[in-house]
Amino acid sequence: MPVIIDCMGLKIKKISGGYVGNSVLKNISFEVDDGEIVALIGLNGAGKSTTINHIIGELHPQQGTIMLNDVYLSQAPTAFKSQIAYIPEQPILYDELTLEEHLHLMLSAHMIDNSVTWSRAFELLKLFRLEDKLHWLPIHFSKGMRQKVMLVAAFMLDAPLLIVDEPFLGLDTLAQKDVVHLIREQAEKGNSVLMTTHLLASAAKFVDKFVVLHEGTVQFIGTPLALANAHGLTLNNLDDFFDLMHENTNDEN
Amino acid sequence: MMKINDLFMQRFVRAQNINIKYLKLLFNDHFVVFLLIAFGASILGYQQLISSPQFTLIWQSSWWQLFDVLWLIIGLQMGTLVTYFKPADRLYLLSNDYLIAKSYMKRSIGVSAVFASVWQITFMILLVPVLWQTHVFSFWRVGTLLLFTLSYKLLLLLLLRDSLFLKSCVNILKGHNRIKYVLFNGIVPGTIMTLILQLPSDFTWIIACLWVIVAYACGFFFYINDKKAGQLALDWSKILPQAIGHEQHVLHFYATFAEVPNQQRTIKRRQYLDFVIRKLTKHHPVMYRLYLIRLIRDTEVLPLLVRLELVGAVVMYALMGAPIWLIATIAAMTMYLIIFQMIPIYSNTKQKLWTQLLPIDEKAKQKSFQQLAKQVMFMTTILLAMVSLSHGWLTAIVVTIVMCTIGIFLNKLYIPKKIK
Repeated sequence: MPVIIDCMGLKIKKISGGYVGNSVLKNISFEVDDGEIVALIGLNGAGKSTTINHIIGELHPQQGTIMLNDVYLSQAPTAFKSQIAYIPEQPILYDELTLEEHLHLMLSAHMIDNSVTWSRAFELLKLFRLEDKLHWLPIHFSKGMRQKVMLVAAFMLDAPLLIVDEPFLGLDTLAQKDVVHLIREQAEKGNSVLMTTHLLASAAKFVDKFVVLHEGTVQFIGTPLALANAHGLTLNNLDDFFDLMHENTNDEN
Repeated sequence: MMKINDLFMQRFVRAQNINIKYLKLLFNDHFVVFLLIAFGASILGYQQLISSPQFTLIWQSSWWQLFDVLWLIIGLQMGTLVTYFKPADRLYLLSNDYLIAKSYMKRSIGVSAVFASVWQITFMILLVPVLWQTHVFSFWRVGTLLLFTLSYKLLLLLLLRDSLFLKSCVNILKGHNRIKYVLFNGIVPGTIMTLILQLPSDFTWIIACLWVIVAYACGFFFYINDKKAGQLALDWSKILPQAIGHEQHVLHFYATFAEVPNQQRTIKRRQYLDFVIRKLTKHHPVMYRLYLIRLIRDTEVLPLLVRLELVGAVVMYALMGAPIWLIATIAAMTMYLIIFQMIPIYSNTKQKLWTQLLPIDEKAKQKSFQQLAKQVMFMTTILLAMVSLSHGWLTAIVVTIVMCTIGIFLNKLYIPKKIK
């Protein structure tokens, strides 16, 4: 009889944490199942980036667990990280490495530096019009191009969990459409996608679930339609959600 | 309220406080022992080089005049315009071109001239024994040379200041920066210095008088009065790289001896070294490749390592007749310094988010770095052992043994502790 593993996807359980002397997250829990696209949303300072920093292992939680496909981050950080691909809000590159060397470094570190993966990487390079810039150093890239390098480096891995922090920042409209298409493609392959965004109406078209963070706690988990209905909004004017959130916060104060 | 007129001096004071902080760091460290030994060895080596009987014939060579001129020209490249401009100035001082040109830059020139003069005097003092040995020494000649280098350096600073404005006063060779640099920083001063050295000592005063007139006229040409200041606009695309470059040079100096946090790094592609990367990384882990590429394309660490190797080799070679223990100590210190300078490659790479995301455990990363450090130490040992051969077989053997011992110590204890 086949063994059924019920722990697939990302599972965040009762995480509390933040930076030294500043506890940001308070007991947050949510899941991102295989093939699911989940968007973390909230106002500035709600804890979105802190949550992501915990998931990528940059911060250690004070309590709680982070598990991805049966692997606990705290117990096996290397095995955990080998399952994730991350696109940060601000592109981060080595000044000394060319575009090609960056990609080979990432592939080698994931032990998949072979012709098959490289052809996939090259397809992505062509998609983002970077195929003739393989020998360029990051100093010669514009901000948008640097962001595209991060996109290629993440999407070429086909990792079980893709984390995207503000996916559309600094990208032209063509690239934005390509990113949405690639995110959907990842989900169709059965990979989990966790992203943060402030563009709710646009995100509602392709995300399966919103996780609303407010002052370090989870306020709502549900489909875009459920979120809209809960606040008397439609999917088209879901961007007004933050106005309502802000008004509620002011009323509470 | 902050006045633009006082801004330069405020920044100057702040910069000196930082200098004091780093100097304290430097002189509190155990490193002071190395500095004293290196300084003593350099003086000893220089003295032996000057007085050694085997060099008697060399002193009679006419090539020494070329050396004298080249030495002073190198000196002229030392000391740049100190402006303390910050990137944010581009925004916050946007409408202050007049005050900056009139007042801020005036103070900047004053401070820069003092720093540059210290360099010129140092270079001249070091040259005096050579002038003495080559029989061209006379108080008039040295005085004239010093007067010339000091005033010419001031003119170079004024020329540099002029280039930081959108409309420069000096428009010759515009767009040919390299030719301009060679002309003003090499050919012109070189020719005048040769004249001062060649002419009989009694005639140098004529050159001195002529030069004073020319220098005064040039100084007047560069003077910024009220009317001129109103017409000048700052070229921030030149000002900021110049200021950042200077700051980096200063930090780079301290980084030679102590850890300097948040030092900005610059890189050079160095395509001609790609074959070294390909050759060395063939059978090594990916992290080794990363450290090697970062080392090879770095504009701070790699040149520093090369300079340290060269300085160590020259000092060791110059110590003719010195005890073996002193030569071995210099070799060991050079090795230590080189490894000390390599550590930031590891720590800087570790801090990068990209590195943190790589699914490679910390031990493997450390092992790769140690592998690179081991190769550098091996090369250093070979180079310095070869240099010590000039002192005889026994010295070479002792130096090799000492360097191997230090290498084992550094690799097994020092590096693991530093990169933990």
